[in-house]
Amino acid sequence: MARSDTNQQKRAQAAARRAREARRARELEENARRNYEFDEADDLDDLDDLDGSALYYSDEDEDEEREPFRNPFRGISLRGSGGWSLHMMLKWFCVFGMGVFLFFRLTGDKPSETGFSQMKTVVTKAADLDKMQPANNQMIKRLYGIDPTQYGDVLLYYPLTNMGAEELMLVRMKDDAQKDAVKKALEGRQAAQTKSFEGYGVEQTAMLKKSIIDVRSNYALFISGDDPQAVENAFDAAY
Amino acid sequence: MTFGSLLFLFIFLPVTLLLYRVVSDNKKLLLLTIMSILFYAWGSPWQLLVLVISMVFNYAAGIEIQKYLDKGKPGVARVAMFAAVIMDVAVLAIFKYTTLVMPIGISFYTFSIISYLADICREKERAEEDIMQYVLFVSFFPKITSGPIVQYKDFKAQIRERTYSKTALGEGMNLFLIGLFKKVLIADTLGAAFSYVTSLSTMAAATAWFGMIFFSLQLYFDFSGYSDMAIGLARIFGFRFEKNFDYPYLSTSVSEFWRRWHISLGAWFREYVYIPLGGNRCSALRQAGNLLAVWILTGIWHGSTWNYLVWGLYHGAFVMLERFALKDILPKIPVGVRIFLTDLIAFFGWVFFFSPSLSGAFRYFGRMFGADGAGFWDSTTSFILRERFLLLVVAALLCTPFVKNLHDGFVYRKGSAAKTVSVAIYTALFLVCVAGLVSATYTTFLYVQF
Repeated sequence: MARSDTNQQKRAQAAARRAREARRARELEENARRNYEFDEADDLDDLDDLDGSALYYSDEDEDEEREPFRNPFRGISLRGSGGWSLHMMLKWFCVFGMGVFLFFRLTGDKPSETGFSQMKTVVTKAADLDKMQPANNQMIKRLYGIDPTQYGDVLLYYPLTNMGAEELMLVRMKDDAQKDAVKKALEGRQAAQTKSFEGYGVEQTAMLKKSIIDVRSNYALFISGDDPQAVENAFDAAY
Repeated sequence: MTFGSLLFLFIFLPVTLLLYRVVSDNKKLLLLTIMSILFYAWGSPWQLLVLVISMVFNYAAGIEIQKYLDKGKPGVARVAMFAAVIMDVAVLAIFKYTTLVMPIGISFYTFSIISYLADICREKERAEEDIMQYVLFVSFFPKITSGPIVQYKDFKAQIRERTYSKTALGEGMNLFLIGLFKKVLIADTLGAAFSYVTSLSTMAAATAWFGMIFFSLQLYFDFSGYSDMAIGLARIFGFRFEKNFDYPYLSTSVSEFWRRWHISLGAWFREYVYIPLGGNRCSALRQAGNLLAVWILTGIWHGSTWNYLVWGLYHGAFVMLERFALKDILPKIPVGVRIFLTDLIAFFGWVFFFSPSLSGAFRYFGRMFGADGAGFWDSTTSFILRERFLLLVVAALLCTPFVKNLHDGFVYRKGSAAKTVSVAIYTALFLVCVAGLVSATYTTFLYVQF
């Protein structure tokens, strides 16, 4: 008997759920139809009917809505009911916080508007590429561990032989979020090269020690060669 | 993190789904909120800071508005709402129109937040007492990066009535896969074709026309693919969002095109700008002014350069022309001709959209009419047509409900064997998409920049 009651209850619940889902589907369909009919509406009454919100409410919802608003910050006030309540303080704190944030962003390192092809021309002109060769995406992935397709533009010239330490890497980043990853990749490559030449490649080690990594808002440069400063100066001027 | 990244597909989504399945009902929303914040903050914590400040500010503003309403001071509540909206729009404008890097999705979540404040002020909803539900409304991961722009009153209803079931899971997965397919296999291939055309130093007129068509189709498949993925993901977790695209290239007028293209943005402007300004229940002159305001805002919402403003005005001009001058003439034109003309207008409009500047757009228009001096057709045009003909045919077919109707008719009428075939097709599509993602041919969504 008890089991039969439970089954009946389950069936009733399932039927109620199905009815609710069917009603919801009808409401959505009706809402979509009304949205499309919007432009056909010519007068005030039609427009008022088209706000759609009435579709989601039943009488119970209306009753529920008449309950007084329970402020999550109720009871928390600095100077009683006439003073600044917590939500007001929060609001102005956010305005201040956003102001400070924007000030530092606007006055900080700004992205360069120089196009990649122009930057590439300037940088490669300043560098001595005789002992380097251009790399494809696969080589960039192998040497630096980054996927070039995820970045704005990437250019790499790497040593012609295993005994070379000359290298030029130029990256244009899509956004600030990529800055850290690029910096890490450049530093990783610099460290790996230095380590591999340590102990036997005196010239290469010296070259890598004076190599330069310059990471800015939307561009990053790594240059290792006879005169890295000249390349960095060119990069700086074009930035 | 984006929907098309392997990290999202193989780690974030399965983990979230698994946890969502195992946690108790009253913890499900909390889980979604935490995962949404994690999704947004991934790889770029500074943009989370902007989101948090914005959320806290507007939550406090919502409470303030509600308190004024409860005290019977609707006028003061309106002032408080406008002050908060001005602050939101100012922050959005600073990010959008200066050289600052824009936090992902700021245009979309700012509009969602404005709908929250406006719905409270108009007493369509009450200020949210549950902070966690409010945070979820703003940051829900399927919609935060590129919409759809869900209005607060609709989201609130969804929180109350969401149903998590196997059917919802299946429907959601289905839609997500369709979106992934549209993005990875169609939009990105069209994007490669468009990039090829724009990389040409000189081009024949027909080549420039092909470029315009490639971009128009790419944008549709890219954004509608994203929207399908977003709506599908929301469905997986029991939320039902309205569709954001409804075969817009089958529209018979520009007005209809905008009721089928980026529906959530159009609905937002209608609800929070057009109707409050008076809508179409005022003099013709006022109506024209209201429409102009909406289209100027639509243009500048997309970007700060003049080409976006001109693009908005261009569409606004056609909408006004249809409403005031061609109202009686349009129905007399055959449907096929109307669709062709509407697509032509929309495609021309996208030239303003993809060009980096207004002068760039006019230069491209010039190329479409032979300004490069390379004639109407050359060997490059033949090469493009030969290489991309199949792609164009497939894309054109997918712009209509033909393939969907064919599939649905087959699956729902032919019984379980057909369903197995359907599952096999979807699985194959998924594997091909993953192959595309792994081979790094995948590019980010076009609308993320807005």
